[in-house]
Amino acid sequence: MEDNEFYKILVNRYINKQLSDEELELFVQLTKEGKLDDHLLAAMSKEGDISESDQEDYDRQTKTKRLWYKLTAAAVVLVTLSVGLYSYFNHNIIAGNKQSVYAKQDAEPGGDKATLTLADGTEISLTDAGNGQIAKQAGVAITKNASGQLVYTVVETGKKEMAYNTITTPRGGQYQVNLPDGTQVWLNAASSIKFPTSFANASNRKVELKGEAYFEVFKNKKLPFIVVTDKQEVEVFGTHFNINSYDDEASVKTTLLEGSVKVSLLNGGNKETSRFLKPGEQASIEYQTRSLKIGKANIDQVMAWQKGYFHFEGDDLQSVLRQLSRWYDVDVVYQLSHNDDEFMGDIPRSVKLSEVLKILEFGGVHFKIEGKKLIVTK
Amino acid sequence: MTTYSILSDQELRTKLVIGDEYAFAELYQRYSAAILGFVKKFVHSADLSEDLTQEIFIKIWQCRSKLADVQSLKAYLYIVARNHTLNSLKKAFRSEVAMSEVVNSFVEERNSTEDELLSKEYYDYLHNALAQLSPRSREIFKLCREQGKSYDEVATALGISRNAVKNHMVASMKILRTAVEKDLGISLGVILVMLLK
Repeated sequence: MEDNEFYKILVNRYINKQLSDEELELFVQLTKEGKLDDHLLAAMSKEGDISESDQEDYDRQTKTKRLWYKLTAAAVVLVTLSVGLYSYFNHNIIAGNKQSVYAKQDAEPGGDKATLTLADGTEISLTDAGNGQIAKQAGVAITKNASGQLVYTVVETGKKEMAYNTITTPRGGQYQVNLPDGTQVWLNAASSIKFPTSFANASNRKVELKGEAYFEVFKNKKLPFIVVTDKQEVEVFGTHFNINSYDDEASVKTTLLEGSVKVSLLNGGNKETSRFLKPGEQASIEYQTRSLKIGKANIDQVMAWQKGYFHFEGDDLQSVLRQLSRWYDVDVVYQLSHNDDEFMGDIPRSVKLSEVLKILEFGGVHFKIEGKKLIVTK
Repeated sequence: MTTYSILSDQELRTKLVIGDEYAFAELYQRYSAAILGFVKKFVHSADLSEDLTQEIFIKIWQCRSKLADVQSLKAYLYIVARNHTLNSLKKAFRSEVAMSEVVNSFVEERNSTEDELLSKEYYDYLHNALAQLSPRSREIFKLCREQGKSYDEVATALGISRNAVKNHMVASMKILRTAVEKDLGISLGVILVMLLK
């Protein structure tokens, strides 16, 4: 008897639960060795009604590059569709006797708000500014384009002095800026980035960050791109990464999506330790212990803000509320001793605070909004 | 959500791609029983089948961006299930602990009444092949037939995270859906609250 003949019968008898102990023993061994793969796959495909074209379709998708984190219009569509669904649901749910507890006081979600501070100290509100040229200084034209992004264009060269601009987002704000070298930066709420208006005569591209931002650095092998935060310096050449450096969190977290990054722990401005990150890894510098650790990143969790939603995965109440306070611009006041809840799930950042709180209340905590205060009670 | 149960597979797929968690809950509602049945047909252990089914759905969710151009959501789901089942079965057989789970579940459900007539050639091949197995491997099989291990040991051996998180995630989605149907909340976020003692 041919191997294949035997295998076919054996696999069928396995599926039909007919194998004797002896046959079962052989089945286990052959499966381990991979000799029954083809027959098992064929049997499974038949059972699952999988055709050849289905298989081809599948093979095609798994070869496709991950489109998740590329800057495309899809990111904008996500939020829009979510908002669309939101109103769809509102019409379709039978109105019960629901008096919103938050009818009088609520907090609007954040939006594209930021302030640009020029080298000479002039402050321009980017929120209110119309599209088109906002400022021209030190040989650089700063324009707000139709999508609301800030774009830097070098107009005249020849200026030797380094002039710096700072873009600051308030609580409840976020902004996207294209730096003079083409690097794109998404700033989260309560953050700021300080950068030179032109990299023309620089030996590197150095920027200072407070808070959180996601970077897609324009590839330039000759000019390393350096991001400095309070305890850390990150050096890259052409990459996509996220830095979370809020000082009310326990550590600075740098997460690499694509490319390569060198993370250094700073001690009084000097580099103490340096490590390289590979895509999918996260470097974490704890403020208290000043230790630099590298681990696997949870990309969904890290990038959720940039894609327009909060992603909680086992976060405790305090961590959840810190994120909410930055986005909704409220101060949290705790009126309960402790809370052990862990929260899991995704919420779009575009909904009002009251909607978020309604869900969190499933955990048994209660909330009250009083002006800018978010009060948490048992 | 009754509104989601009327969506076609194609419409559901579109929502999954953009990360709509209600769509995931509907996908689970729509296909988990069938996938469970499918997996069990090849794995025989009910416990293991449940865990593998959950892993399959989680895989689909984690790689949801790959659904973008897929023609048949159902076929895609079965392909992921098929691949994961085969890989897990092979992995199980490489572990003594997990092997006994599958083997003993098989034996429990064995259809000895439906004995087909097998040819002499079949038996000759069988005995020949068995004779070539190493004594150690024959001993292992004999031992695993005699003893069963707790399923927790099996899960540990296979690296299946039977942690409450994952089980709650899927179970809670069903609860939340029911709650929403009863008008408890209007939100796109599927928030699952786990209370730890």
